Amino acid sequence: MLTYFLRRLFMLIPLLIGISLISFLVIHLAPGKPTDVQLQLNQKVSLQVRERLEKLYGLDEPLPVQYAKWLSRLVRLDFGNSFIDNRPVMTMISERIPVTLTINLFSLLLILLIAVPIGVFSAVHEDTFFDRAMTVFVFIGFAMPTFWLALLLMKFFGVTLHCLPVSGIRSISFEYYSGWEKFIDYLRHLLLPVIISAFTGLAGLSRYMRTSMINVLHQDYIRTAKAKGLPQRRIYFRHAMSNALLPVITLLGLSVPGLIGGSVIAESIFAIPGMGKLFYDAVMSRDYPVIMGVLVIGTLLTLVGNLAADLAYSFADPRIRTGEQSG
Amino acid sequence: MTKVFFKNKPAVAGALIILVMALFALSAPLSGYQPDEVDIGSYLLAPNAQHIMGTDLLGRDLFSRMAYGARISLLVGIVSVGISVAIGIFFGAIAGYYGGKIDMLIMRFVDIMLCFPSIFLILALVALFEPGIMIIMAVIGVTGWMGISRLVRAEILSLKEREFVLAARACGVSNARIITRHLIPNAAGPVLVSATLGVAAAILVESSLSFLGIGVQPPTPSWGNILMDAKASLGAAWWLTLFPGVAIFITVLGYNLLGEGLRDILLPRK
Amino acid sequence: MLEVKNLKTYFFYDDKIIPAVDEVSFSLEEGSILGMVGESGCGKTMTALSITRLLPSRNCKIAEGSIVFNGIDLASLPEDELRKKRGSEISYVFQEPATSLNPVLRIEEQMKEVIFLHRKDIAAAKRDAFIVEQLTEVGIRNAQKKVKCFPHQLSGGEKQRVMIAMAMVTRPKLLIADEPTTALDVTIQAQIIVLLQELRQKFGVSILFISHDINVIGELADCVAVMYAGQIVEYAKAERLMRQPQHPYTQGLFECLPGAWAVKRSRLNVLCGEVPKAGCFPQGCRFHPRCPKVFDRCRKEMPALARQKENQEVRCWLYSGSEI
Repeated sequence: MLTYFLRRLFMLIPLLIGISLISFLVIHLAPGKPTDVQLQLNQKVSLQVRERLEKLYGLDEPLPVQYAKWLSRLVRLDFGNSFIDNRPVMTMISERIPVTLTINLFSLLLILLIAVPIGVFSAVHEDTFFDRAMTVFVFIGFAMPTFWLALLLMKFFGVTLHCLPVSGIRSISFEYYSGWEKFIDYLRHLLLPVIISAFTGLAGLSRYMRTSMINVLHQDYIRTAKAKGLPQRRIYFRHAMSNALLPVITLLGLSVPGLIGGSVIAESIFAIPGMGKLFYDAVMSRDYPVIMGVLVIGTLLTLVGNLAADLAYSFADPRIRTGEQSG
Repeated sequence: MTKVFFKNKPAVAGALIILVMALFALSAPLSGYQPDEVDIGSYLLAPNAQHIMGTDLLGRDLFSRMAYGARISLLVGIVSVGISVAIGIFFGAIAGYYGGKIDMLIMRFVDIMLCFPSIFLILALVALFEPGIMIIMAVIGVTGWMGISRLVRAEILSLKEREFVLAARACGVSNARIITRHLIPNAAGPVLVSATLGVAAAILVESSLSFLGIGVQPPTPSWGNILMDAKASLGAAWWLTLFPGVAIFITVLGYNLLGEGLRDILLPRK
Repeated sequence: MLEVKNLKTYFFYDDKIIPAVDEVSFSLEEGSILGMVGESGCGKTMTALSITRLLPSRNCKIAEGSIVFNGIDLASLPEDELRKKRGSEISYVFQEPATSLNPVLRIEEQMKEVIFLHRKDIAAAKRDAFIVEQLTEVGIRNAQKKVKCFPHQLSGGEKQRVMIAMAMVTRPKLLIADEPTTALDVTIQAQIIVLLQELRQKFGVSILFISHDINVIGELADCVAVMYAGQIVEYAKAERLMRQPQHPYTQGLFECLPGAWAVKRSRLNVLCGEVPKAGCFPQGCRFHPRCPKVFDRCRKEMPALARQKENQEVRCWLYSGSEI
């Protein structure tokens, strides 16, 4: 187990180097090299931006030196100051991360709570009306543009029913609320964004869970369990699900970049002050230090998510946990 | 209607949807209006005989904008997936055929690319250039090839020791020819499935970007930026929200259905 | 004790019906061993699974026939009642010990759930000791430690012993062993066969033993049923069948083996071709395309299972004149 963990950590090193290289490349795509032929209108702005970037990242120095500097910044998570409000990028990001993580964790929870039972039920009742209805739902989920769904929900709950807030994470009168009311207010603001970020994942995971469960139900050990005369619920819940959930752990790990990326859309639509909104605003105002910072941090979060999923898997699967064959 | 089709033959339903959307895109001039023809006098008209889908805040005909938007969406979807497929096949084929260090290097590169949340990477790249349809296509293409390269690599790994390849090699056929003539055509099935599903994904990404104002820039119409306008008039003009949303949904559904149908047809499960 | 009559297990699809088991009848005495032999795809496993309706899919059903077990017809017994017989009165040991045990549950738990369900007479406090005792009895060394293991930590032979212990822990009246030795090394195979013989001696359990290896069957079984394409083609006392196989298919099975029978024949006549897939059976005798002694009648009419001397039954036109 420990060796597995160390090996897994060791495998991160080339990935981290690769990430640093690619993000370094992205900086170099930044516009406004003095020699570039730019649009007349943009020339001046671009040149200014370029100057500030050169100062920040030392772009006038030889490439290896530049890369070394970039790497040392990355290690210290120092992305310089924002071009717009001149505050340290890392401070801005760390202010924003908690909201984004909260939304993502809630939506992950929502996805699991809904998709797993749906998938299992569909698999157990393969080819029944319920299963077919769920297949239709899955196709709808995959094709639904989440930002459009967000608009519809905003209109329905915010404008028509007027029962849910559609922007920000706290009401104007938040200050005057008691602790409990503050909590409720917070939840009410998070409800729609969480639903939106969960939507696509919901379809995907319930489909995946169904496939995984069907696959397990055809295994020999399920036949053994039946042959032992076990009641159905023990076969489904103890014998089948403990196996069918294993690949789901991996899938959750793989869905982390999608969730983090999706927060850009959900947060900009609902004006949630999270990392996604920060990134969106930075892109709109060409605030390169913030763009680079969020890009790298988002990628690191993905790595952490994958690592966590891997470890969870190796812990959940006794075949990995207890190592190689001993008998 | 789609539901009935879909129960029986997803591929047919998907193809039909795509066909209808293509006809819709071609029908753009039929509206009798230009997509950027401003007529302040007739702003926010509900669907009527002159404007069958109504008009927007600037009095532009929505049908015309929707139909031109369909051209944009289809174009972006297909071109960006074309780029992904080209890059994916290139890297996948080289990795699978040559193996060893080259394979390891390329596959590590794929792993690294997959660590970047794709929307983040797309937005960062868009921010570095002027947003516009060309950049959008290029960026979606450049950030979406990893899955295809894995598919192609896997396919080629399983094929390259087969007799017909060994025979070709024994006859002195060049590596490039073996890859392009013998190996890649065999990977066509999974690539086609993945590309079809990719078009759906690319259309979704493009419309999200345009909705956020970082995609196709006004006055060029796209379903995404029509919805951006709709957000401003939320509640006032249902047709501005309904038509583009449904168009995106239906089109994406069409490609997904076609893709899933093709998967059943081309890649039979064990 | 077990009397299967005219069993038909079919796959029902929208556009066609595929017979997997067709008109199979056999009986099993208390404490005896019936061997069932044939190539893979002959319907042996489907017959075995049909007995307690462990059929692999919703489309697969018992279409006709009765399975009378100690006076009760299992074929018409409601699922709930049948479930109570599974594992308690009728147990199974399957072909692949590697995949037949749940990979994520400890041996202990997989044993314990059967005891919990079917052996209420064993007090909760004594279950652990009982499990160890049972595992030791089927020849697992160091059982105390092995109960805490997951299946992948045991060898193939050990896994199959666990399967057997799990099947026998409830002292069933019938043990259905579906190719229990096929996936194992030859030496382990022999040990498992000896173990099964011991269990029969000790507990008087009847065994339905399925194998594609006719020599193993001959060694172990009292009676033998030879299956081909979903049907029984020959049915006799083991000793008689080994001495005088009559159906060309049974003879072919012997000839596949290196050894005495092959040498006696003028030519080495290995069975050529394959078992036809269920649903694609040829007209007439299902074996006729592969039969070295085929003649006209075989191609047109299907022979019935006809009784010969010494209660030997054969489904072949060659012997149509000689039944008693």
